[in-house]
Amino acid sequence: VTDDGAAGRLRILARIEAALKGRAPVPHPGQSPGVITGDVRLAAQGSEPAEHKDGRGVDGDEDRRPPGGLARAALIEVFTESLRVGGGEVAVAHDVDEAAVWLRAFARSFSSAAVSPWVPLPLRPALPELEPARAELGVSVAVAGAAATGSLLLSSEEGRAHQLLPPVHLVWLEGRSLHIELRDALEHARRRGALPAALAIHSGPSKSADIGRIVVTGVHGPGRLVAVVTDFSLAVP
Amino acid sequence: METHSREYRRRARETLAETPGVRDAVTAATLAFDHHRVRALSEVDAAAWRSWAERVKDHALTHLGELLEQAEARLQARGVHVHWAESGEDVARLLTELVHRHGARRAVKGKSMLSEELGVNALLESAGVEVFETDLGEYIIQLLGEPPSHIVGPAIHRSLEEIRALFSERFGTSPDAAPETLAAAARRVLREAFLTADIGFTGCNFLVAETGSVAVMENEGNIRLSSSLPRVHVALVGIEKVIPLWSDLATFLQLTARVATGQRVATFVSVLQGPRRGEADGPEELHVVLVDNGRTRVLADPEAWKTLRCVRCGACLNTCPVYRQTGGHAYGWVYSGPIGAVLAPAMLGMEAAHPLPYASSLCGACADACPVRIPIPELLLEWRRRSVEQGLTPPLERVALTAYTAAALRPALFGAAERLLRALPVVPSSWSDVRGAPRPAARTFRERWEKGDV
Repeated sequence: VTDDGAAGRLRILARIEAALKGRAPVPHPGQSPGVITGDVRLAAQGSEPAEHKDGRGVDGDEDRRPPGGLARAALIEVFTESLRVGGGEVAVAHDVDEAAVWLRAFARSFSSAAVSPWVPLPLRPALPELEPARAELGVSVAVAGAAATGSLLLSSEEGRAHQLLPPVHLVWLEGRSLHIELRDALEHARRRGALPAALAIHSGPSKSADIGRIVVTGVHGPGRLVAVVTDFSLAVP
Repeated sequence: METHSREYRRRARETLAETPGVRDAVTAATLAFDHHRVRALSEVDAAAWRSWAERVKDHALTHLGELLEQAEARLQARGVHVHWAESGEDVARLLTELVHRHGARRAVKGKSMLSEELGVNALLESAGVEVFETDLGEYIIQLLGEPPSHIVGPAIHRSLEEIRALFSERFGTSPDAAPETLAAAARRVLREAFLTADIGFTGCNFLVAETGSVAVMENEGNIRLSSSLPRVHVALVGIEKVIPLWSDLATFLQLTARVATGQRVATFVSVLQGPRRGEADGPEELHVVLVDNGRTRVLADPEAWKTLRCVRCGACLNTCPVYRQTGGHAYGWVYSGPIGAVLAPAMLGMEAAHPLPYASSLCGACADACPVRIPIPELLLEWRRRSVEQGLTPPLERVALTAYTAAALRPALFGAAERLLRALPVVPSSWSDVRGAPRPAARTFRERWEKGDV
C-alpha cells in the first residue's frame, strides 16, 4: 500500500463515519427463513446427522452406510429435482461396487480425463489422464451439497482447472455431506477448517441466454454436469 | 465513464425513431425476466426474504466502516492485497501500475458493472493491455463498441439476427447460424484468451466481512475461469457490497438469482478468500479494490442512502414500462432504468442527471419488484422536488406551475381562468393527435355550486 493508498483509505473511512453521524444503527435481523419447509423439511431433517452404519467406504472404513428410509430419500429427491432444473444430472450409488459399475459404463463415452487427486482409486475412470485443457472429462469430489438449490460445493484444494475446462464434469458427493439448505452446506464447508482459496458452488452446466434469449449450454465451463451421490465415505480431506 | 444523462429526452426519442427494433427486443427480454422472477419468488416466502435482506443491508450500511475494516483484515490475513480507491482516477492509477508491474499484455474480464462505471477497459487499453470481455453478452457489446443496456443482460437490445450478422462479419459464421454455433465461435476465441491471459478482472456481488470472502455470481463459467487461470486476479468491489456474516451469504445468493433470472441460484458462484496457497493452480496474487467513487456521498444523503442496498439484479428495469421503451442506452449512464434514475442524481449530482427522475410514470412497479425494498418511487419524487428547488426544471414548466399556484390561491382569479380556458381551442399535439379531448361542461362546477345546483 502506497502512502496515497493509506491516506485514501483513511479519507474513505472518515467520510463513512461522517455520513453515518446521527443515523440510527440498524440491528441484524438474525437468520433468514429457508427455502424448504413443511413435510419435506421434516423428512429431510431426519437424515441430516446421517451416520454411515454398515458397508465399507472407499478407505476401508466400516459402519459408514446411512440408515436410508424416507428421510434420506426425500433429501436426494429434492437435490435431484433442483439440479435437474439447473440442467444437471444425478445418479445414486449405494456402495463402491455399484459406483464402479456405473463409472465403467459412463466412462465409455470419453477417451481422456483430468481427475482430482481427491478422487479415490475405485472411482477414477479407466481413461488416459490428460491436462484439463485437453481432457474430455473432468472428475471432482465435492466437499458438500445443497438440496434446495441443487448445488455442489467444490474446493480449490483439489485444483480448479479440471472443474472448469473439460466439456463434461463428473462430481462425486458423499451422501452425508448433502444438506437441505445452501447455508447448511456453506456452514459444512467452513467447519472443515480454514476456507479454501476458492470455494466454488456449481449448480448446473455452463449456460448463456445472451444470444437472442435462447439458452445455449457449455459456453465457457462444462456443458454437462453429472453428480453421483454416494451412500459410502469418499474420505474427503 | 462519460455520462450523457442530461440528454435523456433526445436519446430516448432517437432510439425510438431510429432503432425501433430495440423496443421489441428489450420488451420481450424484460417481460421474460420479469415472468421468471414472479414464478421463482412464488416458491419461497418472498415477503420474509425481502424484509430480511432489507434489514441486513441496512445493518451493513449503518456499520459500513467497521465491516469494511473487518473484511480488509481477514483478506490481508490470507495474503490478499487490499486497495482503497476514492475515485476513478485512483482506480486508473492503481490498475496501470499493476499491469505495468506484471508486464501484463492480455486481460480477461468477467462482467462487472463497476468496471463499466469506471471505464476500466479503456484505461487498460491505454496501458497497452488487450482486453477480452468474456461474458457472452459483454463480448457482443465489446465487439459492437457499445455500453451495456441492461444490468444483467448487457446485449438484450440486440436481436438474434443482428448478432448473426455481427458474427458472420467477424468470425465468418454462416449468416443463419444457430445460437449454439455463434456461442461456439465466441468460445474458441475466448478459450484461447483464458489460457494466455496474464491478468483476470471480475466484479463482486457480496463481500462477506466475517470471513473476508469475495462472492461472484454467473452462469457461463467465465468468472470462475477469469479468477482461476491468470496468475493475477483483480476483484473490483464497490464499498456497499459488504454483508456481515457467512450465514447471510446463502440467502443473498438465492434471492438475487431468483429475482434476476428466476434461477434458484446462479449456475456458478465463486467464493474467493485469497490467492493459491500450496494448491495446484489458481492466481498467485489476488487484489481486492474497494471503490468509493461517490458512494460515501450517497451514504451521507438522508434519503438516497437506501439506494446503496441495491444488489444489481435488474428486477426494476424488467418491470418498468418506461425502461422497456428504450432499453438502457437512452439513460446515458451505466446504471439505467428506475435504479439508474435514483442513483444517478446521488452519484453524479442533480445537474448531470436532471431529467432521469422524470423518466418514470410513478406506477410503483419497481418498488414491488425490488428484493431489498428500495423505495424507488418516493426517491424519484424526492429528486423531482430537489430539481425544482435547484431551478433545474424547464422554464415553461416553472412559469406554468407558478401561474397555477398564483391562481389556485386566489378564488376570483381561478374562476376567471376557468372561464378563459373554456374559450381556448385545443392546441394540436402528439397527445391530442391520438386522443379525443373531452368537451367542457357549459358551466363550471363553481358556477353551479354558487347557484345551488349541486
